[in-house]
Amino acid sequence: MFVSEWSEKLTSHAKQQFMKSPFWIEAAKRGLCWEAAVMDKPSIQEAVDRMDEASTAVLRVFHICFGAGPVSEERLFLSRAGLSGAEFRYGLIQLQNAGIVFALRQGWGERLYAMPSDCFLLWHPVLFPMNKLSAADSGYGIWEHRQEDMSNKPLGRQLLTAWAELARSGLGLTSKGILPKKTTAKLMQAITLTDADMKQAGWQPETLDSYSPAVSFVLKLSMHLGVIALDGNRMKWNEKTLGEWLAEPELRQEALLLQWCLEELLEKRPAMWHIMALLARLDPGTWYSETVMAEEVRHHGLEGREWDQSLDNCLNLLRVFGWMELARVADGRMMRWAMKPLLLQDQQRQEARQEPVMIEPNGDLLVLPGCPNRIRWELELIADRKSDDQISVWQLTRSSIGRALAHGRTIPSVLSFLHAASGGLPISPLLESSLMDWGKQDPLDTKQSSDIYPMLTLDHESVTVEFQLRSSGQTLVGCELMNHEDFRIERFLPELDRVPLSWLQQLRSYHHSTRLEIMEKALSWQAPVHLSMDDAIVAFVPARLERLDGGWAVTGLLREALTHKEVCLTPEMWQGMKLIAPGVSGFV
Amino acid sequence: MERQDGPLIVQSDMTVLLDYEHPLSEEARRRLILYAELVKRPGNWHTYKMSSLSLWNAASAGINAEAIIDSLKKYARYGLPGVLETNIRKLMDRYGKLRLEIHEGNLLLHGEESLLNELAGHQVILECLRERRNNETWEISPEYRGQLKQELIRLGFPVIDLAGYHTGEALSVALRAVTRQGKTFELRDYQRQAVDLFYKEGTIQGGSGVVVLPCGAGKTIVGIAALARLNSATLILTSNATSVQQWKEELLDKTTLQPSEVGEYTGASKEVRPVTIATYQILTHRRSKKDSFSHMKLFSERDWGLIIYDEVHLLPAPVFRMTAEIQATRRLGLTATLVREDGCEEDVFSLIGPKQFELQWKTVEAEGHIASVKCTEIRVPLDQGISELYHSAEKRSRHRLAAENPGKVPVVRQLLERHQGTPTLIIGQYLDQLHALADSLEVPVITGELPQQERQSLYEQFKAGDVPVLAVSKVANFAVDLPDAAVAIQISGSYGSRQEEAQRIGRILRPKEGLNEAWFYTIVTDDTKETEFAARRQMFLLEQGYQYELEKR
Repeated sequence: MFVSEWSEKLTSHAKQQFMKSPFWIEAAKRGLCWEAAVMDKPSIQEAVDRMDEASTAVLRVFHICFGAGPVSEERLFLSRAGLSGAEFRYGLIQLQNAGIVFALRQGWGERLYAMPSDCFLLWHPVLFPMNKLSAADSGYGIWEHRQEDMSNKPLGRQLLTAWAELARSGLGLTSKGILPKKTTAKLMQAITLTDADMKQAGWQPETLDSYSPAVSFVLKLSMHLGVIALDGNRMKWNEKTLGEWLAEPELRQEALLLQWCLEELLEKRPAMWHIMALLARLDPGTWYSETVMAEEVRHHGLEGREWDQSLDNCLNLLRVFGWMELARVADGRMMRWAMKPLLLQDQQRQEARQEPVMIEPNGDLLVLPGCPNRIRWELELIADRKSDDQISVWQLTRSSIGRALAHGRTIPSVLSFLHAASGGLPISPLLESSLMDWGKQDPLDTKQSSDIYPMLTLDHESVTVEFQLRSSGQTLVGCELMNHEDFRIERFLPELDRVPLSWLQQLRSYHHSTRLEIMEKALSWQAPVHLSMDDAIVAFVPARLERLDGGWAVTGLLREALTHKEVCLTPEMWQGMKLIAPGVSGFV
Repeated sequence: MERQDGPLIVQSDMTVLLDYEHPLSEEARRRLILYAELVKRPGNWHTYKMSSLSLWNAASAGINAEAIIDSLKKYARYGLPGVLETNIRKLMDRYGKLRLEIHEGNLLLHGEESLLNELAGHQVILECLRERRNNETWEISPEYRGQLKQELIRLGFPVIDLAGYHTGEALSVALRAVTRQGKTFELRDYQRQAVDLFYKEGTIQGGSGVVVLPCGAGKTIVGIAALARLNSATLILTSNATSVQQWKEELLDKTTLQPSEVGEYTGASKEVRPVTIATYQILTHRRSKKDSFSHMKLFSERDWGLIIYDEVHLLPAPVFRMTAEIQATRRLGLTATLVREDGCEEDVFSLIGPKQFELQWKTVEAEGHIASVKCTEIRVPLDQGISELYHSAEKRSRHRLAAENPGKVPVVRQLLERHQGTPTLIIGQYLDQLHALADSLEVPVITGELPQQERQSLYEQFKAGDVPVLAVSKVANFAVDLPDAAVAIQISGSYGSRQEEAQRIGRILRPKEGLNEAWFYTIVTDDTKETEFAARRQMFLLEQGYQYELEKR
């Protein structure tokens, strides 16, 4: 679920309470609301800088092990690594109080935890700083072969051509309630995605799906975006949503689609979320070695077959959706972002150039990257696409104009569109004369109004609303969002007020019986203690007590700077000790 | 990809678009033409295409993959797709991997062991093999020299042929400083350069290849100069009988060759002399499909030291087969385009040789070696008398009715007045129309019906200025030398043939005295099928870089 969707579920009071968290002090001073703060890179950095060690550690564990969740409390707790239970719970509560992690209650009382999924890629670089990888020499790579060695088109571009094909062919359904085979065959020709690609990208169509995997994927995504909807025995266009989607700059479209992929395709695969976020740090256009990247993945403590496989899966998914290029070299693979669809910043959006269409006298229409998608949409109707690469080329022909006429366009409307799309440049008189001639043909197959190819205005001011991507909304199904008031420290440090203050405040030498009492309290809280041993102070997380003949011993985790080791201690083995109540008497 | 301010956009499919208005476009173009072929240039964006052949042509000129990639990167607006870099390296890597050489009289193929082993898996290659000398050298049967090169290139491996040539029968011939007609004559710089690159000082690195020059830039002169440089008996193959005449006239006019030394080998005449000019048509003539090509014996009737293939893009398949057998003879291909409608570009590369020289049309025009042409389409309404007939006629008849629209006659008359005193050709598809128009304007007509001698006589009078206007049918489409025509008026054409309009414009490209201008008019009937066909023909010319204007009457 995305921030905007969580926001709808939260009360204003709760959101205001979040901003009172010490993590958001600077953001609150700047007047940011909760929705803005959790997505604002400087505020995120400030929040992480202000976090106590427990909260940071919990958030890191969450990111690595569970992506954006949801995850059960039990599983989350088991993944806490070296943290004591109390530290872990303390950190989790701090994160909940700041609106960074949410607790959900399931019907039978089990608790789940989740984060807004669109926060993941923004928080990840702050939580897991990574050294800048050195670029690989592009060398003499062998391309990852497919489809005449062309790289895949970006997913957003593929959707546009797929929709254009559906709009040209019509959205009528057969008696079985599905698109005719002829239409789906044309749709497959309009995209570069194949069924094999979808398998590689991890797409599982529903068992009873009548379409091939690639068609099924396109239709599901189209419906999810709200561009196409089922309406009785046919599908229909939602022209408003289509217009809003196509008004988005290409990079934002791809960013939203990547977000959707993380949600939909990688839902149960947190390793891929994590790797995707690491890959997102690479500069676009630069080749990197997969081996070097795998090293980096390992450096972050991720090892083993699952991670290698996940890296491979991530790279395949990014290649399939046209975001990354892959090449094989003698000692492995190389990768580079062909376009980086990652969370655009406002600055980048302002820089995006709106390139006009160049109209050649022979009817060739050259379209540079950055050309508004609503122009590409209309070109798909009035002209024939000849190539779609860095530059896309359409050609006006007699038959393409015939098609446009059948869909209700007129020569004056086509000329007016071309004039606007080219930024007002004059059209060659010869081409204009050809268009006039082609306009005299009889439209063979005039479409009924329900089958007319949607006409979108090029007027930038007509679309004022930014396209809002919605998640599948599965996170909250069967769950109840827990109330902010539930997150109190007393919940995990019972009887805190009965504990002598000296236990919490001073590192002192106690009688063996008091040492035992303190250890028992630490065990009941699952809290750590500080021990002074041989002139050094170490942190110890007790796990169990054993009574011995005439004495006792405690087994637990001794936490040193770089290593954690399980040890068994008897009371005479340390001199001083102090009970640590996370959030009350500091952290270890 | 990051955007930089460059004039090139490089596509994954090896297409390169050049923004002609960009300040660096000329600099980029000069590099680009070394390894990519121009496909079209309809407006400000020119389309080039790299292919295995264009890259191997570049490799044969000493350019390597890194230089090409660096040059593309330097000018590319959005960087290079990874697949493209890979393809360039892969293809360029193959050039030079195989070499044909002569050692102690034996023809040897050298290559890396792994590559030769891979090739040994192909039966068609093994047929050419005489003996395996060692892991990296095969002895090849000399008669298979051409076939081997052809098959290897089909498998994607070009061969550098360093097996050399025999010199052929000696023939003393030199270029004249003053032509027989009394005009001073010397090679233009680019013509001399083309011959030098072909000849390569007589070494085995030269002696075979193709020279690409635009229409009107003097391809014939390059051929004649190559002949004079080699001083050996030469067989010239060209596309039709008129062109044979043109070659003969140029040879006698500009070289020291005597008429007795130049023979014509056509349907009408079968002279085999030290310099023999033949048509592809006669070489590929046979009585029936079962018969052999009896005139192919011409290739062995003399000890030719050079064979010139004029209009090499039209070379027919049987002549390729014959050419495969004479790889020890020097071969020069001449053409305005390497693009063949039949896709046999690879055969030209392997059997005639790599591109040795190319000059772009714009360069030739800028230097004043061809005229600058202004093209105008004039639309006239359908004559009222036949309008009704047109609309009730069957589709097939409509084109002709529109083409023969009597409303075109006054326009032709106006154009002749506009260009009075300028040599003008009126070109038409239909003989009835041509004759009627010629009668009404009182101008002579040249059609296929007219005997060759009378045609020649009319050409002479036209050249001399005695006849200022000539009406011609499609016989004038190919290789007719009409040096002084500056205006062409096309009154009808065939169904959108791309080549036709280009050939017709070619008639007026030769340089003119004074402003060096020429005019091409095409008159079409408005609101009829004719505009559609005319548009198709013009599309090709637009893509060649000609500007068209439109006039409505």
